[in-house]
Amino acid sequence: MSDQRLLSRRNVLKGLAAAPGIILLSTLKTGPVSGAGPGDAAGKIKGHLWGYAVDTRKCIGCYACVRACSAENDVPAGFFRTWVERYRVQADGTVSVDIPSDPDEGFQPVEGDAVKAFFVPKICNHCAKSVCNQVCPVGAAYTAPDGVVLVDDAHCIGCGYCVQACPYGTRFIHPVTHHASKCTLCYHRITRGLQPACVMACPTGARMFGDLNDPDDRLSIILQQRRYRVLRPEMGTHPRCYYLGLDAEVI
Amino acid sequence: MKTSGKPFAIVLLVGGIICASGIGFFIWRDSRSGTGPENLTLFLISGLAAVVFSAAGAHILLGFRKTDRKDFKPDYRHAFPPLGLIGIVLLAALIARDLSVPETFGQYGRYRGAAIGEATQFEIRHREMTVCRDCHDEIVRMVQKDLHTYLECFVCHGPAGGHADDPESVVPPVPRSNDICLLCHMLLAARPGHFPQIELDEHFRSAGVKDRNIRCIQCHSPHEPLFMDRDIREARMHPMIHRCRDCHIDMTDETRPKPSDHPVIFECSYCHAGTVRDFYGRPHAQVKCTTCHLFTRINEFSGRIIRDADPRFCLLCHRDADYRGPESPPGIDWPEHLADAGADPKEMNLKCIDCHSDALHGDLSDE
Repeated sequence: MSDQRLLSRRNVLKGLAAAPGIILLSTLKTGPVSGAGPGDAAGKIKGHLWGYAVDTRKCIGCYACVRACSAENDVPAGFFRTWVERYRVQADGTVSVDIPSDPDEGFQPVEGDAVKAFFVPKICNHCAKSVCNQVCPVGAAYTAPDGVVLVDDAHCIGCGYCVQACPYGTRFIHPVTHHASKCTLCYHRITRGLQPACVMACPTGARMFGDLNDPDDRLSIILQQRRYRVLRPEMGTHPRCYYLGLDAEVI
Repeated sequence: MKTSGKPFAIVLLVGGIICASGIGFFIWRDSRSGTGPENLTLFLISGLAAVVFSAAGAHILLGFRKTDRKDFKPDYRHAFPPLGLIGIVLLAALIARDLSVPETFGQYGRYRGAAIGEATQFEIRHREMTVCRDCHDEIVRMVQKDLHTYLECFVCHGPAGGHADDPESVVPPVPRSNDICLLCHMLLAARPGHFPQIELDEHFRSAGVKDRNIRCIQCHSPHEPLFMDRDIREARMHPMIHRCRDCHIDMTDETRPKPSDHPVIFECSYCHAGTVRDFYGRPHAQVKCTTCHLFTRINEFSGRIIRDADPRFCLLCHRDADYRGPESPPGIDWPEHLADAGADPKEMNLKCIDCHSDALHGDLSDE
């Protein structure tokens, strides 16, 4: 009889009732916490939604942006967080794309008679629905509340899944740290009120940066007044990098 | 234990269904947000509970179906080991998760919140022009009034982040070769047509440069590129500002200032003093230089004055028409004016300035 009492319906029900309590306690423990110490960025990121725009008609292909980015962010040689592509369209419709072999030398004249040629700066698109975040198995790829797609270096395991997933090819595995590395929109600069290095370096103002949440911001005004499109909209990534004057050939 | 366990089994089944629908809700919500499951713990526990509750409820109900005995008393003892095992595994999993999940995980989303703060901790290397101005005020003011005003100092001089703090040991490079100029100004098919760019051989040829080893900065001051360092007519280049956009590249409709507020960049008399002085003594004195001397962009030496003096241009002001008042400049009938003046009617390509050069200014051959 004693066994039966121990396993009575009442006791089983008691146990089942207690389980959600344990669960709830455990989730509370790992739930939101505030005041995360000296690295806390809550005050700096509040209310912003950073966006980026490129006016391809202004780009002169001087590569100053790429050199500035590499120096600012310690980008290893041979890898790029941003780059500029040269598109050359022949009369028969063939398109060729190239980038300089050496960023310090910049673009050189090439043979061949292109009927249409232009430069297209490329950068992480900081997508609103970023693919790289969704595939990260350890939660190291994330989008900060101000819209910047970042990598948590302390937890990235360097599996390279995000590198494969990005439709724009903006990520790479750092050859020294073996972490995923990408454009941060110079997060250390924009959180201190500066512009990203590539935007500052651009001599013609082809690269623009601003706060999409601020209707008086220059970028917001430009996006209101000008015609633009994004790269590969069919991927459904909803990029926050907007291109003015972009040719249909560009992918 | 007298009662049957049927209501209990039904409660278990309903609980399982509720948990399963909770799972469905999580999947639906997370697929909309596109960021993955927000609370993985709740998600996994709901799934486990759905399976256990439903299986137990169904198992008990099936047990009742198999017997027709009225005094059947279900015995739950056999359920104790698996349920206990599940509980232990669950507890161990929760403890392991609590130990392994970072403290600030979930602060802003399904990632470590402190990572944001860490991303801001990085050294700033490229400083803006205002930092340079603290010491190099004269040069910065020179740059800011000229065409290279949108060029930050570091574009040519490199990121000298430490130079401001320690000017002695951190010295930025001073590039003097042509390569750095040609990074922007080499003629490339892909460069926008309005941007000044040269092909070096062609540039030397048309500028009359004999010395092939000459450097760009020997004629063009990098801090003041609008004007030549050498005699301006030696290279036949003319200041070529004729639209706001030639200098002001980042204006929107909101930020555009009034053109009348603009400081004077240059006056024609800075270089053509004799001609301007002479011109003010003649009938056209109230006309501006730029009214007649239009600037065109033909090649890299753009800004040359159109000298062909088409009569139709003069007739814009001097044709006799009904709308003209007493204040208007003297009007003529064209081409009758040619015959009236006794010119040969066959010589219809006669230009106004062939007879009326006195009305403008003196011979420009010395300028």
